[in-house]
Parts: sequence; C-alpha cells; structure tokens
Amino acid sequence: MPDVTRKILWSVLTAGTALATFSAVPARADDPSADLMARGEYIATAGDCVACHTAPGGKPFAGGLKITTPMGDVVTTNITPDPDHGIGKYTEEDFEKSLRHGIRRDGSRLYPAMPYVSYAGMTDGDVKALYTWFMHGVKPVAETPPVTSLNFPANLRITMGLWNMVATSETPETGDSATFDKMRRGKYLAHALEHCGTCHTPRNIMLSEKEDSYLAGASLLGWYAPNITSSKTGGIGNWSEDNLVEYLKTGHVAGLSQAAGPMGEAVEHSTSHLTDDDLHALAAYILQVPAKDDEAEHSPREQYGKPLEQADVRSGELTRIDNLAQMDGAQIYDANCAACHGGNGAGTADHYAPSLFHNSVVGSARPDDLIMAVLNGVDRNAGGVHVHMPAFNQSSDVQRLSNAEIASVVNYVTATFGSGDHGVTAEQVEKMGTELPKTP
Amino acid sequence: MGVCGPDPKVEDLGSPRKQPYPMDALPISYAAQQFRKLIGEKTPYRVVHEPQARNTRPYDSRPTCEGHNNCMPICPIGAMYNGSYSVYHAEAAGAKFVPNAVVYRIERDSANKRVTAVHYYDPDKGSHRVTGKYFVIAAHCIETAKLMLFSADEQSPDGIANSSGHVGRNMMDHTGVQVSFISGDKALWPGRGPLETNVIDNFRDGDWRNERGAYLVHMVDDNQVDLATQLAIAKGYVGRELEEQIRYLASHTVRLFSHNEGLADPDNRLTLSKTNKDILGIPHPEVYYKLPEYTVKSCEHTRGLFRDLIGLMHGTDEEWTPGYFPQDHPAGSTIMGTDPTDSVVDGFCRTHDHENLFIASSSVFSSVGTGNITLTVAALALRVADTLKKELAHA
Repeated sequence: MPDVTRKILWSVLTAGTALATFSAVPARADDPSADLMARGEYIATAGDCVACHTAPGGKPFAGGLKITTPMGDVVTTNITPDPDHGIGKYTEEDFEKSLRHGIRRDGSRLYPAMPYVSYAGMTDGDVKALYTWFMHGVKPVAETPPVTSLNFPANLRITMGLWNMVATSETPETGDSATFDKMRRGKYLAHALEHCGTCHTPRNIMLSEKEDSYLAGASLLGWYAPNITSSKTGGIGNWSEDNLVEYLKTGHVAGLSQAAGPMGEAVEHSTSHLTDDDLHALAAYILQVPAKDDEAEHSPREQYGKPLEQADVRSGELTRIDNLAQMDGAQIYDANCAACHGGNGAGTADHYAPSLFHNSVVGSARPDDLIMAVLNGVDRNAGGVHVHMPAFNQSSDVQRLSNAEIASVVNYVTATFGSGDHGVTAEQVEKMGTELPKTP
Repeated sequence: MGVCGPDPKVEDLGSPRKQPYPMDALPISYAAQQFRKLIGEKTPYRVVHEPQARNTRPYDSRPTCEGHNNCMPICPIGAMYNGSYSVYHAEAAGAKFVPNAVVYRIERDSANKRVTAVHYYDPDKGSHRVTGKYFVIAAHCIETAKLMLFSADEQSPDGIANSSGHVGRNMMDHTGVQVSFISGDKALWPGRGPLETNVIDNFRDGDWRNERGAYLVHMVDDNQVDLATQLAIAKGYVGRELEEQIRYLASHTVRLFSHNEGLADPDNRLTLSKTNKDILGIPHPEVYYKLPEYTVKSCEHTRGLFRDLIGLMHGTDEEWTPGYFPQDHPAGSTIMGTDPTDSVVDGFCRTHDHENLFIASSSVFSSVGTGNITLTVAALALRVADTLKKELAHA
C-alpha cells in the first residue's frame, strides 16, 4: 500500500539531500548527562524531525522519504550519527549551522523545506541538547537514501542562498527555554520547535511565510491547513485552551474537529508527546495570535449542522438500493459511511467515529480536507487510541469509489451536515488524488 | 489476513501456536459475558474467545471492528477479513484477474504429468486458452471437483488428477443443531457487538470421538428484534403492549447453534448431472449426501446439552430448527492424504497425478473439524503460495 502520505513533508520546497564525503571525525562529549539527553529527545519530538527524516516502514531518522513536488522528487536525508551515511562527522558547530541557518557541513545550502527558518529560533542550550541526543541517543544507520533530483532552478543550491536573503528567519531565543514563562514558552514551542507556520501560514510570491498572515491558513499538497488565528468566524477563536490542549494531545475534540493527514501525523509523532504544561503554553499562545478573518469562512465552521431526521421505515417509502443505475450522494453515504458515522451523522457514542455535524472539517467552506480524508482515510495513533478510517480511493482494500462518487458523497455530506453543497466535481477529486506523493 | 485471539498463556485453546495471534482477542459482549458467567458457575464447561479474522486494531489498511452487529454477509467497513482483500493484494503484486471467466477444460502434456493450459468461456461462450508453468484450482469444493471431472478426456477418462477415483468423494459439512428461546433470567440484550465473540469449546475433542463427532457451541450474538417481533405478533399483542413485548423478547432471546463434525465418507460424493446443464453447456453438479451416523450421534448429544442450558436459563418459547441446521461449510471432494490410491492431493496441496497442479480449497480437507473453514482455506492457500514461490525461484 502506498504509505507515503503518512510522512508528507509539509512544505512547498524540498529537503536536503544526501551528504558529501567528510574527512575529520569530530570530538564528542563523553557521557552526556541524562538530563541533557532527555531534553534533546524531547526537543527532537517537539520539532517532529522524525516525520520527514524517516521513510515509510524505514529505520528512524535514516531518511529516504520520497516526495513528489512540482520541482521534482525529493528524498530526505539520513540524520542518524553514522559517520559515512549520516551526520556522525558533524561537530556541534556544523549541526547548529544546518539546523538554524540551512548550511550543510560541506558549505552548500539546504533546501528550505527543512524548516531551519523556524529552528533558527532555538536557544543555544536546546541546540546543544538536540545535538547530544542525535549523537548518543539515535541508532546509527549505515544506509544512504537516493539523491534528490530537482528541476531547474531549484536544483541549483545557490538559488537557496538568494532565497535566504529574502526569507525571514526566527531570531534565536536566549536563556534556558525550560524557565520561560507560559506565554514565552508557548511562543517558543509554536515558532521554533513545532514550526506551526510552516503549514498554517500562507506564503508570498517568493514562497516565504507572510508575516502579516501568521497561521491564517494555507493550501498544500491537496490538504488545507486551516486558519487557526483567534478569528471567531474564520479561525479557532471559539475554542478554549482546554479544547486545543485536548486536540493536540489526542487529535480529536468532540463537537469541534479531528486531525487527519499531516496534522494527524504531527499529533501522533509530536504534540501528543508534549507535557501538559507545554501543551497549555502552546495552546494559550496560539489562541492569542491576532485574528485574521478568512476569505472563505464567514461563520464558525465547527457550528454547522445537526442530526439528520431519519424517516421511520414504517411511514415512508422504502428505497431499494440493489437495482440503481447510479447511486446518488445519499445512497453512497448510506452504503459506505453510515455504518460508522450513522444514518443521522452523529458518529459513534464514544466519538471513535466522529459526528459529521459540529465538525470543522465538514463545516468548512473549503471541502479540501473532507475530500482528502475520503480519498486517503485517516490513520492516527495518539492519546492511546488508534483511529482508522479506511481510504475510499482506487487502491482501497475496503471500498473503491470513483472520483464522481466521492464528489457526490462529499457534496451530500457538506449539504446535509455542513455549510452547504460546494459543488465538488469529479475532476477536482481526481486532481487532489494526483497531488498525493507516489510511492517509489 | 489478521486473526485475533486470546493470549495462549491466559486462555489455552488446545491448539499449539509458535507465536501469539497477531491481534488481541475480541472484547466479549455483554450478553456473552453473562453467558460465560453462567456456564462457568453452573456447568462443568467453559466459554472461550473464538479466534477469528476480525480486526481488534487497524490492520492491513482496514479499520477496527466497531461492533455494530452488521457482519453478515460482509463487513461494510472491512473490519472482518474476506477473500476479496487477498485478491486486491494479489492484483497489487501484479496478478491479472479475469472476471466472468468459467474454466471448463484442463489441458495436459502428452505424458499426462503436467498441466499445460486451461480453457475458459467468457459470457458469450467465446473460448480462451491460458498457458502457464503452474496451475492452482481455487474454486471451493463443489466447483473444483466439478471442473476436474468435466475435464475428463482420453488421457484421463475419469477426470483430472483422479487416478484414485476420489475426486468428488468424501464431501463433508458442519451439520448443526439450532434453538432459540426466551430466557427467564435477566435481560441479555444480544446484538451489541460483533456477531460472534464466544464459544463453548469442551466438545471439540475427547475419547468419545471414536463414536460421535466433535462440536462447537456458539451463543450467537445477533440482534433478535426480527425474531422477537414475529413471536410477539404470534402471541397476539397489539399497540403499546406489542412494543413492550418486542423490547422484552428481543432483550431476552438466546440463540444457540452448533457446528458438528462430519466424516470423510467416500460414498458422500459429487458427480456430473447427466440431465441438467447450465447455459454454457456445463453439467450441473449432483451431490449424494447421507448424514454420517457419527454426526447424527453428535447432534443428539448437542440437543441434550441445549435442553440442559434452556433449563438452566429458565427458558420458554423454544424454537428448534427442524431436523438439522446445515452451516454451509462444504469441504472434502479432493481430499489430502499420503496414499495416492485414496486421496487426491499431498500435504502441500499438490495433486498426486500432476506435478504442477495445486488445489487451494476446502476440498482438500480430510476432516472438517469444528471451526469455520475460511481461515484454514486461507492458510492452505498461503502454504501453496510458499511452495510455488520456492519452486519458481529455483526454476
């Protein structure tokens, strides 16, 4: 099964490629303290390094995730401490340069999909901890993933140097990040570690994040990372801090939303492992990000819809579904969705299968994420619950729906439980299906 | 395919395993919990988890069972395995699937040792020939035997792989006993959770098996509103009382059935009809089947057990399925064995007569046991695949 969607590199650009050869072996600190190691591991988790630097089914941090981009195929690199295949020969200084400035040990530029403009905000102490953990806590893997081959002009690494001149980097925080007060810690987590803006902030013509639209929503690789500013109509201004903490911890809040696609990955690999204090700090910071009203969303997307009143079988006309030339949206829903989400759309009592009304994804004016969820399913293992909705695309092992059928059922679902029929077409679904990265 | 089952250290089912089941056992429904408690406290028997191919976690891109009780005929969300998933995997690995193709002839080389091609009809009776290095017949037990018999020619006048004369013989089924009744004890509320979570396994084996067949008892956990409604109407209730009775009866109905073991008897056999043919001109199968005395005795024993259980639960309104309750688990017809004179395939499901012809089907069962047959069929198919892989790699 194509599994690459699990590890989408959430960027329009591309990650660094395999490293050149090295000569000197750097000296390493002996016996790093347990505290430093623990902090390094935590920083790696909060920075979600594993999401991009691990191939589907591959060894952790050994790279090899292949992503199809408009500029060509990109393969992430091995960042295990293997001296020949990974970053084993990196000194702390080399490591810092690539992490915060996007400059490799051989002096060439990393592609800015590696979110070094965000990691630039890390404190010196956390960079040290991260370096220490990568050198001592990660198992070396002696494998070199295939080399990235991009189209012109992105294939010229010098181009990335020019890009750096116009892109804005975070300013490094100073002091001990563990002692920051709640709001400063929240900002540090949001900007320097979790790099929320990489996906949620729209980009300008130079593909840099727009500073005046921080977290105002952006479309990438078929999914739409929604507006999560404090706007009450277009963002998440009606969420409480506890709501957001629960979402980041479990990937789901009944009556609000649930994470799928790359956000599901971020929750599974990163945010669900943060401490409660950090989650509250992060949530408090995100919830005070200046409101930016949305171009498309004019009413809170989580408040749409209500249960469908179902006709009593004793009083209505029964519809036979076994002899229809073409099923309409309601019939496709009945045959494929109702078993879990209920004929009335209320989901299961324990919310394992979420309600479709009072659901941000269904209520959104942009049907992108609903289409992507139907096409690719949901696979999110966080907070002790492994949620799995099957894919309904043409390689599904459960049920294969055509693009026209998916368009039809999406329109039925948004019309019945969300903000209306958005007129999704089969062509639109097909395009979104092809935006997915392909397995090598 | 993904099988869930209990940890052998906690619940030993008497079937040795090298490793635990891939998935944890299914949680036992409320009705089954109550039933298990009763059996454990009031009888010398036990209720155990039944191993089965239902997902208790996401597995193979298919979701976890949500226990909505709509398992039959196939799970709408793919939480329960069926053969189509293996077909999807085969296609993804490069297999070509030809739909609406009815194979009617198996061609061999001049020495009659190797199969060289199969011929099939499309729906318009256009004939097509497919050649290959290896051939696997996987047409369940009726059609497998039928095809092999219908392919008889001058080289093999009794049919393909039939030097033993045993193609079509030794057919078996799980014949069962079924009863439903209204428990006089507390409500069980059956129908909440997967259809099958539990079995009484005390009658799977014992010294008595030289006289009567083994069996397995299911307390079937399906929704009983249909049966309860018929019963309440038959009792003459109307209006508000009818609704109350449906609610009461549906929550107190208990349905028990058994899988009783058949015996491989060469006289129970499939032959080709001399009078009836299908639209393609292929004879219909004809089956002679006499319930073995061994199975009859087993069913009698089951009836006694069921009567005891009804008494134990202060049951009323017994509804016994008349005669026997066939489970539609056909097996036998090209049975496995070491002796080529009384069996059709060897231990690797390879036909004794043709070195490149295999059979992946319940037709190779030489005994039908007590459990549903699909998982064993799938396991044997995987065994065939292993042999083919090994031989093709050396070819």
